[in-house]
Amino acid sequence: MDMYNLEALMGDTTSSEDYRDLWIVDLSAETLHATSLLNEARRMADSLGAYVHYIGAMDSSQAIACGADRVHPLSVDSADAAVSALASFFETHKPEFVFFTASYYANEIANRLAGKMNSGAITDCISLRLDESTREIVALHPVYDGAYYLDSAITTKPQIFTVREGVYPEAMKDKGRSGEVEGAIHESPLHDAPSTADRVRALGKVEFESAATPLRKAAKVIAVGRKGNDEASVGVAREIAQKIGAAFAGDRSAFDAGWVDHDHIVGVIGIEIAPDVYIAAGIWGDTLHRAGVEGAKYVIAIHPDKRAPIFQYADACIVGEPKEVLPKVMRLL
Amino acid sequence: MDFDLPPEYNALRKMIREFCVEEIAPIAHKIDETGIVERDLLRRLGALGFLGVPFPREYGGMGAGEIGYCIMMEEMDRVSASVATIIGAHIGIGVMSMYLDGSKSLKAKYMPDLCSGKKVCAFALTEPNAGSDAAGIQLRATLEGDSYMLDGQKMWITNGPIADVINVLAITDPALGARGGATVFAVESQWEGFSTGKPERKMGLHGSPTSLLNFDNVRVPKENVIGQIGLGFVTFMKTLDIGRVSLGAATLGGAQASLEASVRWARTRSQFGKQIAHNQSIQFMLADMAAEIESLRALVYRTAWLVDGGRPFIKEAGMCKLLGSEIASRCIDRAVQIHGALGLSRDFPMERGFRDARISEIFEGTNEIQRIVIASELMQEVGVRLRP
Amino acid sequence: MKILILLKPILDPRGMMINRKAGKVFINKKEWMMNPGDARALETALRIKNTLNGDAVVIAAAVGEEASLNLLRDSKALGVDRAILIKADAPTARLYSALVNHLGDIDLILTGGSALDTGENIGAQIAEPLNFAFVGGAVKCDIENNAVHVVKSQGKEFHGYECELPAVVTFSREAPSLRYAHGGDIIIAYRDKNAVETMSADELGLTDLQPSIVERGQTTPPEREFGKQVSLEEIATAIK
Repeated sequence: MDMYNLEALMGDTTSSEDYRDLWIVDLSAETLHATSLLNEARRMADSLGAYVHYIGAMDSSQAIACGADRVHPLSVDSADAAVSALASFFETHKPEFVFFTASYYANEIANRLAGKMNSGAITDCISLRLDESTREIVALHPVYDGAYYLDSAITTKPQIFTVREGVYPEAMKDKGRSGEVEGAIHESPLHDAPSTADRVRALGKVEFESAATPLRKAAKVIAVGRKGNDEASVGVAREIAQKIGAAFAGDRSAFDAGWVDHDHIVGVIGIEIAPDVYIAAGIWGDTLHRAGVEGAKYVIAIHPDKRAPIFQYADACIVGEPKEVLPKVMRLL
Repeated sequence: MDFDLPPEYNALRKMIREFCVEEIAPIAHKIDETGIVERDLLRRLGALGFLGVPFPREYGGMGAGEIGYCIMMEEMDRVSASVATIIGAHIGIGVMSMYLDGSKSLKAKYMPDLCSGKKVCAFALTEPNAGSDAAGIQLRATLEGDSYMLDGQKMWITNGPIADVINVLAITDPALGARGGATVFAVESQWEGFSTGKPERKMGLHGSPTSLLNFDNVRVPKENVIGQIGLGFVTFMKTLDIGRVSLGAATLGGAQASLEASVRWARTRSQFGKQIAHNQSIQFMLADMAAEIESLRALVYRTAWLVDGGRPFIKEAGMCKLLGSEIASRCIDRAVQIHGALGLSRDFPMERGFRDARISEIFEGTNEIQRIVIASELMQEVGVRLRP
Repeated sequence: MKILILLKPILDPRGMMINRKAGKVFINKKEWMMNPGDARALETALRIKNTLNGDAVVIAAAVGEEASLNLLRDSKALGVDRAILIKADAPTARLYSALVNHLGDIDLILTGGSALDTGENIGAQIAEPLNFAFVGGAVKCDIENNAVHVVKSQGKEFHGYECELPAVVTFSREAPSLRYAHGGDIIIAYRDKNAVETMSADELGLTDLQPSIVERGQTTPPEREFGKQVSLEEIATAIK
């Protein structure tokens, strides 16, 4: 094996004191996420006596107004290019803390970077708690598809995190802040290793049929009931299902009305479902129905009668006729 | 002393349970409503070894012994008694009779296809005039040159309508009758003279096809004799003895399903402002179910262990079938009661479980016969011979 | 073609009870399962092996004790050529990188995109130190002309990628699920004392086994608030 790999295996010989500052890496297409993250980084940096750096494509004056001391423009068009650029940049500018704006893309890059730098990354964080005395951040992040949360910390440097959107409030901008704009970061080959960007080639869109998901395993389900629905609104519900990639089902009354067949009745006398999102339109929602959708993670209920039991276990409620509400929802999609 | 099963059995149970829950449970209701188990499902089961669990690999089986077989039957009956019955009749008494006493060449000829699910097996003993009085069978097998001509009828044969190979007991020497004058033959369903009646319409096990078998001078080559001529009754009794253990395991699975559903319902259903689990009447029913199931579980797996260890097991096997069937009946009865009106709905599994359970006290040797078997074993230990 | 699969056992969530009121996770039934992404990776490896007609060697590796050992036995039952258990406390990128170097000539590393129980993406972490190309989130993966063809989802579409070897590919849960093993193969794999090889971290030349990430605690999401009136926009956003 070549020396390049052995070095990575033997571990970095840099001492932890050489790592400094908080670095925001922004690979997202809009600025709301990164600006709020910058605000938080500013707060942490002030308590640590450190600088805040912004790496990304945001307008530098905005980055500075949100808390950055230094702006390092970066614009890359592939994950490989991002990893390559960040890895070589961080080799010289040893970061103590790196915060990415989380996305599937950024999570992968953060992990690859962590591997490259012999450290760790915690992705999709929903809170970061800095302990100034130990200079350690304890991050809260969801596991088992959000069933519960772990509090984790990274014991090596740099501490790399990707932070979910909406964790921090909208950024406050201080136009009076000053900062410096550094040179743009480029992807550059590391040592003598060939650029990995040449090794993955995009082939474009392909046709792919994922295996059909049965109702009982569907991640999204929209179900209709008799109340406040008619043929037309049931048709709209089907359109919504098609649009959002949901399975279409109904309760017992929908079966009686002929809108769903026997295999698409949701409830204890029927199919039990546990989707991520469950929309019940016109379903009364008695205990037999409730038991059948117990596992649903987020329940949206639309029913004209505010006494409907479904509202007792729905996270999001609209009191109204599905035949009025559903078309409006469809228009918003 | 170790009551844990070795890890391979837990791994096996995991795979079996996953298959049963993912592939069979979702269609169990449909199987009961339509009365159809697709041949493709049997093929898929065969491909994973489900249709030859206790038999050695060399014959295409799973090589998992009686313990593995009981695990499979328990998990299968837990989701669908109909499918469990098809498999149980196929393996437990069908192929088993050939496995116990068949010649090497006969086994080599049929077992691989049977274990893989390409062919289905049936065990044919019962006749219109011979149920518990198995020795009263009248199907005749007359020697004609190099083959036997089988003539007569069998009745209530599980897998009858779908079987490719039927292991049938026929009288070869009328003077001696069943004891000493009966022989087991492996008959192929496509042979001339063999036909089946329409599938019986039963209280339960709608997906398990049962029928009359007609033998109108079916020519059976003498190579297809299983075991020894004249000693067929012994072969069949041996087969029934061992078949009882896995039947006990199947009833255990059904009882287990009743308990799990009942515990869940006790938590889900609220009346008078609280979950019904808080009612002592419900608690007592659940406790009784759980205790009975626990005892059955210990009995079944210990008996399977006796079988795999080559130890005597006839008495215990009879107990497995006797207790298993009665415990399962009591459990599903309680389960229906706990579920209230829901327990009577044809769109909810309890009602199907109730209908499916009843047969266990009757087939494969009625519980009265089981009691005779157990008592015979007991008295034999003290020198009194009861069984004829 | 030498393919390495990395497997991780995770606690089966069906044995867990999440009590949001108490803010605690209760393990009612401690059972282990294969990380779902890893199971997809294993399925793909078996398909590739099938397509290459035996011109592929598949090696499964896991770190830990009994739970990991059982996953490896399961993979043996499914037909992998070698199964290696590394005796160490935690699966780290360094440990797996050392294994890859020890095995030599690994062309393709397949594993799940993230561990369901920690969110860690070990596949992404080992790509750079090993200087392997990387493609993540695969729903399909084939070998064609000594290159890897990967299909991954991008929003509502699917896109294809061609990747040079050696490479690491991680799998999403939309990739084909793992097949069932033949019961007889399970019995054989579990009874065979030599089915799984064991290796210690020492043998891989590694002394530093400290994982970079440590768990400091567990909490639950807040209790759900039922009955909240919302706007049409909020609904549209939630269901998109």
